[in-house]
Parts: sequence; C-alpha cells; structure tokens
Amino acid sequence: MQAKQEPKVTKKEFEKLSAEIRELVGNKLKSHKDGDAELSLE
Amino acid sequence: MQIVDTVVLLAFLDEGDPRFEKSSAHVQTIGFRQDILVPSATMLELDLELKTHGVEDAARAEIHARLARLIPSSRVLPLTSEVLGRAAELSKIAKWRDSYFDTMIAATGLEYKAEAAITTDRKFANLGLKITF
Repeated sequence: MQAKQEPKVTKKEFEKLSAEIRELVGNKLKSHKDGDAELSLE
Repeated sequence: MQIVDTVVLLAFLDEGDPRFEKSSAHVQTIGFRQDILVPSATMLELDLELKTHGVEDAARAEIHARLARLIPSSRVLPLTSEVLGRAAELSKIAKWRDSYFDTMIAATGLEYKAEAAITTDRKFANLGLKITF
C-alpha cells in the first residue's frame, strides 16, 4: 500500500482547527478527572 | 522518540486547564516532528473520555475529522498484539486504580523504543519510561 501524502498544517490552520475542536467539545470536559474513561468501562 | 499521553490531548481541549499552553505546543509539534508519536491507546482513551462526558456522536465524528489533520496517521502508533501482551505484563506492577490505558500507552512506548512519555503523570516512570512535559 502506498503511503498517503500528509500535508503539513500551518500555524494559522492549526489555530483554526484547534478552535473548532474546542467549540465542538464545549465545556463537557470541565468536570473531567483522570481515569474517567476507564471508570466508564466498569 | 517520545510518545504522547492522553493528559496532553485533554489539556489541549480545555483552555482552562493549567497545562493548556504547553499541551497545545506539544500537539502542534506532532505534525512537524517525526519523533513525537501518539499511541493508538491515547486516541482511544481520548475518544472514550469525550463519550463519557456526553459529547454527542456527531460532534465526536467532527472532532476526529479535525484531529486527523493535527495528528496524521503516520504519527499514530498501532495497538498490536505485542503491545497488548506487554501491557498485560505491565499490569502486574501497575497496581493503581485506572491503570488500564496507562499500561497500554506505556507498553506502546516500550515496544517502539520510546525514550520518554510526554505527560504530567508520574506513574509512567514506574512503567519504565522517562517523563517529560
């Protein structure tokens, strides 16, 4: 299988994508504590 | 080579986290440095954190579509049987609660000869990896 070319993200693109990601997450992780994901498996 | 722990990605998502600035810088370097890699277990734990905290499926899909640009697949280390076997071995010494993902992330680092884990979790030192942040 041929390796896919992965274009580098510029600083401006990084900031735009990061902001979009944080907006999608919202404040859902505010109450996060380490290990929450694993506790959900129990 | 260094591997990225889940705490880095979680802090990157939360501007209120005291580790936010440094975590953002670490995430930005992933796309530019070939020696900073993200274990599949880190990605999986992140997704489970999002799901656990109520991020809707559609939003998670959008988040991952964007993360794929920041963390290209060439920077993600696979979760192989060798990694899982090593994680099971590490479980013998990882006696703390919630060590499941820690052992998989550390095992990935050890299998792929990483020198350190980028994390603030000091427990990684007990699993044979240096810690940096």
